[in-house]
Amino acid sequence: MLQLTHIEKTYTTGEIQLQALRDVNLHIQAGMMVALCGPSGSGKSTLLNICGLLNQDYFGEVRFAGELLMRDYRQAMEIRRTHLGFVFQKFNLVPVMTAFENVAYPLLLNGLKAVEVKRCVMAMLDHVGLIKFAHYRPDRLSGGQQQRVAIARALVHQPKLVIADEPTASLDSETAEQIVALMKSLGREKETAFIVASHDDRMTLHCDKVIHLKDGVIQLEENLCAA
Amino acid sequence: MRRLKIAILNLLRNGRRSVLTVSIVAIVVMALMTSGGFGLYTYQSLKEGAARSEGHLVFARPGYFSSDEEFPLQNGLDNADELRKRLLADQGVNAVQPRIYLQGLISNGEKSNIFLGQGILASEFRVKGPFLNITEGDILSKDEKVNDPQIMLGKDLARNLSVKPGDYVTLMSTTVNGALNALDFKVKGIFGTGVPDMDKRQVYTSINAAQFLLDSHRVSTLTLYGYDLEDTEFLRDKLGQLVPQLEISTWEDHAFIYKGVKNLYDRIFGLMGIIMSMVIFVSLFNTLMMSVTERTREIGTLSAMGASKAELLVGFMLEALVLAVVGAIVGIILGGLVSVGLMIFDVTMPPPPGKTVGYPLTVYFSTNLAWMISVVIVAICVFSSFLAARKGVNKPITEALVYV
Ligand SMILES: Nc1ncnc2c1ncn2[C@@H]1O[C@H](COP(=O)(O)OP(=O)(O)OP(=O)(O)O)[C@@H](O)[C@H]1O
Ligand SMILES: [Mg+2]
Repeated sequence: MLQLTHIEKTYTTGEIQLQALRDVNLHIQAGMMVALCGPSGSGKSTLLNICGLLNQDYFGEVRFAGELLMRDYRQAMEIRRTHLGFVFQKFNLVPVMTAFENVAYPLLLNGLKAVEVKRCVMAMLDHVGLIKFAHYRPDRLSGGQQQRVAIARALVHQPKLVIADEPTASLDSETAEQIVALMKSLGREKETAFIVASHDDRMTLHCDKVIHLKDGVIQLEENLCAA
Repeated sequence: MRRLKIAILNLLRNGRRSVLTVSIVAIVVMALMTSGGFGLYTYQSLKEGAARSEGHLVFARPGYFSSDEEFPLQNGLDNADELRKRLLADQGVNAVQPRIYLQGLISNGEKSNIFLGQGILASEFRVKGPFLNITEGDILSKDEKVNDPQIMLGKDLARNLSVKPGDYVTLMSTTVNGALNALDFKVKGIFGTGVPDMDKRQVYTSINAAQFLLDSHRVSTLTLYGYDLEDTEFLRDKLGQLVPQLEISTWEDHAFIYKGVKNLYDRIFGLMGIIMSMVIFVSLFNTLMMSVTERTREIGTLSAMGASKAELLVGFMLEALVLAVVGAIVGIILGGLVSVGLMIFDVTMPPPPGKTVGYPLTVYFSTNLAWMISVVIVAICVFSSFLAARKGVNKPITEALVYV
């Protein structure tokens, strides 16, 4: 579904050039859960930004659902809006919006009618076990609850792919475990592919595929048969 | 509605800053409202003053306004009574007053001085209302005897000649034939106009006495009063057909002070408006810039989710709109309170140049002005927010997301 071929990415800071990705080839199939592992500075975030169509400044080819990306802001924006979801390390919920409104946001961007929005959001909040907190603002929710709202927000419009950069890094290990399990079960149910960057080894246990990255090069691709 | 709610919530996130910005907008709107309202009051009173003293329309023989006379009443009107009746027949006409402008020497028997005089009907005082401040004596009486003409003097002139009501003065002037004529007048009253130059020279006599002194049956002009100043143009066009042989000027042609002051004030207030607009612009820009910067990561998140730049811009502009509208409303209310306050508590302004008396400070509350100021201020705020937010919204998403 997402296909990266011969991706090269160089950051230029003043005189210094830093090659963050070298000849990365990657194929993510529908419904697959992929973990991206590697030490700090290995290029995980850089790769995720390209997968998430957030950064268009690279060499190589990216195809989404067969469509070649033209490095066009509008095209990328449309795809992100309809087919991608994002989960961030710091949750990144909009503080002035309630849990309900946060989850509703992608649906409103996609122009759904209010009745539809309400139905989908409530169903989604139910899925993540937060229906009672629908009208809470993020500051009244715990970290784990906030991340669950963020996951609901990432999945509510039934995207094909969810990009998650260190989604558990700000959580304690027990909560992290729950979050990973939640992502996995929801991903399976809705046939959504996940690509998750993480330092966390436990993360990899739940994944269909683990990619090890070092100094911008893919070292190893493991296919696991997740239980 | 949803967007508006979000905008308001975002503004409440940093309540103090929002209150400060609203205050700045409110103060500027109030300042513009009160200075503009003062300007409007000034225009209105100068306009009314000019129209009252000059008349709404002035009828004269063609050329009267543009050329100098070689002898008195050279360009005067001959059949003034008949013309006056004809004009008075129109329903829109309140009064028509003949006037004679004359000049010459005034003497108390020992000492002479130059005078500028107006020959008028006694009804002039009723038509114009209280335009003179009578300090001693009385106005010209209606039933003046032909052999005992009356005169009113400016107070400085009266003092210079040391005369008081009941005393006699002699006016000397050239007649239409170029001969010198003199006539004794009994001082009826003494007045102040508030303008020192006029108090030193001005006299009023009856039309009849003036005609006798100048040895003519003519009058200088016919001054016409309608009912409403706003109908002046209409009246001019209508009456112009009635007396096509006469040249007509409007009060505005003679309202030099009104025009001069308006010209000056328009510039002062215009400049003030521009400066105030700049203050608003900078202040809104600053506020929005801070809030955009604070919310960089939020902008990044929403952009990642596929929100368009326009969508995000609209959000920030809506916040500026709320600030501006609330500020404008508060400012208008404050401006209104200032107007009302000045009605209740008298504040007297010092005399303007060339005058000896002050006037009450009054500020008009004009809904038109309020609308105009609000629309301009709101537009500036929204534009300023657009510029401030554009930068934040155009930041690359990946940079915005890692912004701390
Ligand atoms: N905007 C940038 N400008 C310059 N260099 C950058 C930029 N972003 C990342 N880099 C560099 O690129 C390399 C890869 O960074 P990246 O953030 O992708 O690593 P990462 O694997 O996500 O690390 P971490 O686990 O710490 O998040 C690093 O050496 C980093 O310093
Ligand atoms: Mg990273």
